[in-house]
Parts: sequence; C-alpha cells; structure tokens
Amino acid sequence: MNDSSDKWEAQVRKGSLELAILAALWKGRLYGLEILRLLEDGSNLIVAEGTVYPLLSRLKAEGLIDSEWVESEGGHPRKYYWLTKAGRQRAAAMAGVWAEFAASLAALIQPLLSGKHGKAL
Amino acid sequence: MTGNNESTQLMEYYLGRLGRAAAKFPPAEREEIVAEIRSHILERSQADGVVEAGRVRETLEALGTPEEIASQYVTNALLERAAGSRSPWVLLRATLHWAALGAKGFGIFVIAITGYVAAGAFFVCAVLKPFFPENIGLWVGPATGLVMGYRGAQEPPTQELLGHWLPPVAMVLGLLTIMGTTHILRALIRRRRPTNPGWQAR
Repeated sequence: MNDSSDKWEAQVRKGSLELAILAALWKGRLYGLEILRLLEDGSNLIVAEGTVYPLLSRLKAEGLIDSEWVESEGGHPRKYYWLTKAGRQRAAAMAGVWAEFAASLAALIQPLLSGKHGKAL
Repeated sequence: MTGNNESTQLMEYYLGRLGRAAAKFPPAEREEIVAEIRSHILERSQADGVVEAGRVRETLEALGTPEEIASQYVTNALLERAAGSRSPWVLLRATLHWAALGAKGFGIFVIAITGYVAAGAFFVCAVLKPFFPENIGLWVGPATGLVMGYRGAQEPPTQELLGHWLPPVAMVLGLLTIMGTTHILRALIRRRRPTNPGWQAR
C-alpha cells in the first residue's frame, strides 16, 4: 500500500467509526473499553484508541447517546453509555444508508475482485 | 488493585499532560475527560488485579498522545459552538482547530481567512477614503482590470469609478462578504456534524 491509499483507508475508517459506535451500543449499555473491544474484534476500524473517547463525547453532545458513571468491583469507576431514542433512530437511518451504499459499491467493484485484468488505456 | 511505582508514574505523567492539553475546558469537564482515560488505562493495563509498567506503556501507545486526544475534544467543542454562532471570531477559531486535523479542515480555514480578510480590506478602504481621496478608490484600467484599494501616483493610468460613493459601497460590500463567509462556514461546519433530521428524511 502506498501513502495515498493508506490515507484513503484512514478516511474510510474514520468516516465509519461513528456508525460502528452507535451499532455497538444497539444491544445495550457498554463502557468505553467494551465498545473498543467490540470494534477491534469485529473490524479493524480503530487507528488510535484515544479517538473513541472524544467521539463518544461528541455523540453525547448531539444527544444520540447518554452516559453514567458506575462503580465497579475492580475499584475504579467506569463510564457507561447507551443509545437515546434519537440515537436509535439515527443509527437505524445510518445503517440503511450504509447498506444501500455498500451494496451498490460492491456491485461496482466486483470486476476488480474477480481477478480479470481490465484494459489499460 | 495494585500497581508499582513505575506504572503509576507513567500513567500520572500521561494524565498530567492530558489535563494540561485540555486546560481550556471548565474544571468539571476536564476532570471527567481525565477520569475516563484513567479508567481506560487502569482496566486495559491490569492482569489478575496487577498493573504492570510494560502493559501501561502498551496501553498509552495505543491511545495516541494526550495532546492528540485533547485536541479532538477541543475541536469538537469549538465546532459545537461555531455551528450555532455568527461571530467571525468563534468561526475562525473553530476552523483553525479543524485545520490542524486534516486537509479538509485546512481548506475550510483558508476559505475563512480569505473571506474575513477581504471583508476587512473593504472596511479599511471605506474608512481611509476621506483621508486619501486621491489614492483610495475602485480603479479600472487596461492593465489591472477592476481593483479596489490604494493606488500610488506613479502607477499606470487608471480611472476611479465611485468617488464619494466609495465608503458606503465598500461598507456594503464588506458586510456582504462577512455575511457570505459566515453563511458558507456555518453550512460547512453543520455538514460535518449532521445534527439536523436530514438523516431521517432519506
């Protein structure tokens, strides 16, 4: 991979991170590190782990998620997040847009993946 | 949970840098930012209740620098404010922070600077016209085209178009430029953060 395709990949990851976080919270409340682990297991979306926390704070400011500190047995408190009603609506709408977009792009790039060489102009 | 001195020092040094980098926030918000990252570091670095320096180092590396994290918080907060603001100062500061994060932000910062500097130049012309009536004007000439600004006596022959009308016309142009720039910036900032119901509308 050269420099500009690296940059492109970083942009794609960054752009999809918001949807990934909302999707991670779809099933219930999680704290920051649990969200991170879900994202890391399911995908390689994360570049720097520190980016998740400012993004969570922004989603909260937008009213899409809410949060609460909870004491844990581990001795340090954890900040839990969950989707608000607006957040659930937004997540569902974003998922629809994404699926539609991914499907049309997948059809378009099919020839590139099937291994046949196109004509060079 | 226990940790040795070295792991505590590493963590506190990192959190100290984070707190200083987030100094612009009110104390309560800053403490919350630091507390959440502290919770992350402690949990990420412990194995069987013990926090090891080596694991702390890995955790901090994966987080990125505290300055990067703080700058994302600051940018979010400024853009939040700017999206609801018409103040050129707030908009300029928000776009300046955005500029530090990437090419798109930088492009928008250039739009902001260009727009507000142009507006400032119109105002300067309007104010200076009464003092330098022969030199400030809206000039038209074969070599220069249409230019508003200062013209020295020895420069190629041009004609002035506005005369006494220059101050009010330049004031209006300056105001329109400010309003236009502000409008464009607000639209661009809002597009970055789609808080409007446009998502549902699709």
